Amino acid sequence: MLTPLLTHEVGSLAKPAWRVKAAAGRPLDDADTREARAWGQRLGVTGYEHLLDLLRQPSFAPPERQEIRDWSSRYGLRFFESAGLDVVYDGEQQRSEMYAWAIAHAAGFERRGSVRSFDDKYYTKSAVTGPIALREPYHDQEFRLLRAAARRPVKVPVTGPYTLAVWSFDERYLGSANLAAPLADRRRQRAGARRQFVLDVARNLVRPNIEALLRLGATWIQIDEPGGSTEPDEIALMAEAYNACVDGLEATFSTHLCFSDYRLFFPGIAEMTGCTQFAVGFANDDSRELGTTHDARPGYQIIRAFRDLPARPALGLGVLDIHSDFVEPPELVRDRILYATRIFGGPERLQIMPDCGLRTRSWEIAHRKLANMAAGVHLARTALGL
Amino acid sequence: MTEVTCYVHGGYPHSEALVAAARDAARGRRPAIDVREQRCADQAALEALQRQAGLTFVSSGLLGWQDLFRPLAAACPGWSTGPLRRWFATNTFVRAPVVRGTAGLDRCMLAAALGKDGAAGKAGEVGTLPGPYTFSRVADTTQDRDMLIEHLAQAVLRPAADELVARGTRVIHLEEPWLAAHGIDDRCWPHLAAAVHRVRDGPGVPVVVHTYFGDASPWLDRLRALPADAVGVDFAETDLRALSGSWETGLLVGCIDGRSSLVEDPADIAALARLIIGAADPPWLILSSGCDLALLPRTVADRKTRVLGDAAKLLNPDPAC
Repeated sequence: MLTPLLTHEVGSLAKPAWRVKAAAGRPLDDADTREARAWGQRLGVTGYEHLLDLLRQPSFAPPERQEIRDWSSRYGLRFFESAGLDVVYDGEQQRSEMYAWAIAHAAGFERRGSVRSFDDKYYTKSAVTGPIALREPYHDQEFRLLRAAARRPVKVPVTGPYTLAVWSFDERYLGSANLAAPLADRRRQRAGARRQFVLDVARNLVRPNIEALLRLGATWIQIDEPGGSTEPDEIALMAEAYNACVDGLEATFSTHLCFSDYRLFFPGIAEMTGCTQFAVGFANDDSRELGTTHDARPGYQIIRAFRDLPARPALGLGVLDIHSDFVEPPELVRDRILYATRIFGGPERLQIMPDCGLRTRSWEIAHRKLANMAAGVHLARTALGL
Repeated sequence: MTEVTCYVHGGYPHSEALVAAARDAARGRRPAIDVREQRCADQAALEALQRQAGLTFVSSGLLGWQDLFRPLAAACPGWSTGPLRRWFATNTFVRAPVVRGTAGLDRCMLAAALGKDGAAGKAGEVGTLPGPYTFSRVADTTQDRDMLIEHLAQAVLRPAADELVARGTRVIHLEEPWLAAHGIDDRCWPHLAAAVHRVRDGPGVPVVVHTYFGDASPWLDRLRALPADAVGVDFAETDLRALSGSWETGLLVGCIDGRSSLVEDPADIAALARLIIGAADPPWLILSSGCDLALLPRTVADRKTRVLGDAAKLLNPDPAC
């Protein structure tokens, strides 16, 4: 696991138009087929002609829609492999979305509607209304497909329990608040209800889903907690829930955190002793100028705190801003790595990744970014004599 | 005798139809005009809902605003927008306005954004703006943040308030979540008082300074000394027992929880309001939400908006409310 400057993806990738339309039952046009052909050729997807034949059909029955989703996964896999990454997955092509997909396979939740996250990005939010349970493992099918098709090691991203809870409404554990009651009492009730909610998600939903993946042979699970710092006084709860997911299980477990004031995670995340890598986005807050000085790398000042974690986990260093079409030159990636290497006293505990999933970027931009990331790692390796 | 009014402030959720249109437009599947037309339909539906619910002032819901700062930053020459920042303890993000130089808001640019074909959509009777203290803390700036409080009021918020009032706004609502969520140093209060005065002195409509996302009780005495017409308190985070003594300023009661999908009972809201009137006896009481309702799905927000009107009717059977 502690391979210096190992490169990997983080999560989601945009879904091709042909996959989206097919899943939605909408008609495809020639441009969709051309796109499938062009990327099939570019990525070296074996047998992509079968997909083209499939896409030419006037409509798709459920088995054919699943077949198209499987092709989308193969494309996603080759996308990352061809960009030069060491550890890959499929960009979550089988999943509707990281939150909705998990909730759709859980008992105890009801859909409430769309909520804006930022700009014109929304997510579908549900409420917990009953006992939480795993209805069926929700990553098994994709994992079987990807493990068989991958030419490189795979890492399975799994949405974390704290994020699933904090992105949901609570209509079960807390109930309506009596605003006339003393605030201290209300806060106590809120904290107790939240803890029970998060731990029920961890024990009854996420952990059994992970156990199913391990039974199939998964060796690296990344538990995503993008909601991790939503409530700064609940970092300890996030850590407790993480541990409830992984304690006693045999695999490599890591986590992904992004777009937060990372100072809030300390010291709480030190309790996540089973976490061997913290994959964290930094490029979003960094300068685009070259350089390896402190002033040149404002987005990376916080990495000292990750360096000093007692368990000495690896740091997944986010080096690509996923909210911008700016394609980071390899030299900029190199300098971000070299700066981090200096802070960490060597590359042994550093691994390289985008800040987050690239699903808001086009495939063209995302591929160029990732290829430059791999090229930047090569430059850094050369500079470090690796 | 306390005058009771009610309104919703800040952002309001987009309908599922608008969400679908925006998603499709972002992916090139529908033209941008579809989004604008659906937003107009949402706007009309929201206005009708508030009228039917009996709210005192009708809010625009900021349906065309990408976040609380964006249209203002866009109307300030030389400014830009920075990276995403988490909006307090929510799963919502804003782009921090990048405040550079001493230039202020170009009122013509804001007017264009609020105009018939503008991206920000029409102004409502409730004119929501970021509070100067919160604005100064969220901004990406190299300037002294304390000095920025007054500068933002003078150069950005006041001309924005003037433009909103010229377009029919009847109350200016300043969102100050930072104050309750993160606190405020003693040295900032004179700047905040001067900033509120700057916004209020001229437009001729009431100005409400609204705190939420935190316990306002440590600051209540100083809040009610601000030169505002009313001060807003989020009672999901504040103990009503902190309202000691008689209030001479108005009090916005944040009694609808914008972070919970559970819909309140109008009778409970009215009972809470009666307790608050008994404790503080403010001359003006505004029933509203704690944080805005933008964090909810549209259907849930609509139900809560109706509750607000129903609760106000229980307190004040006068149909004018």
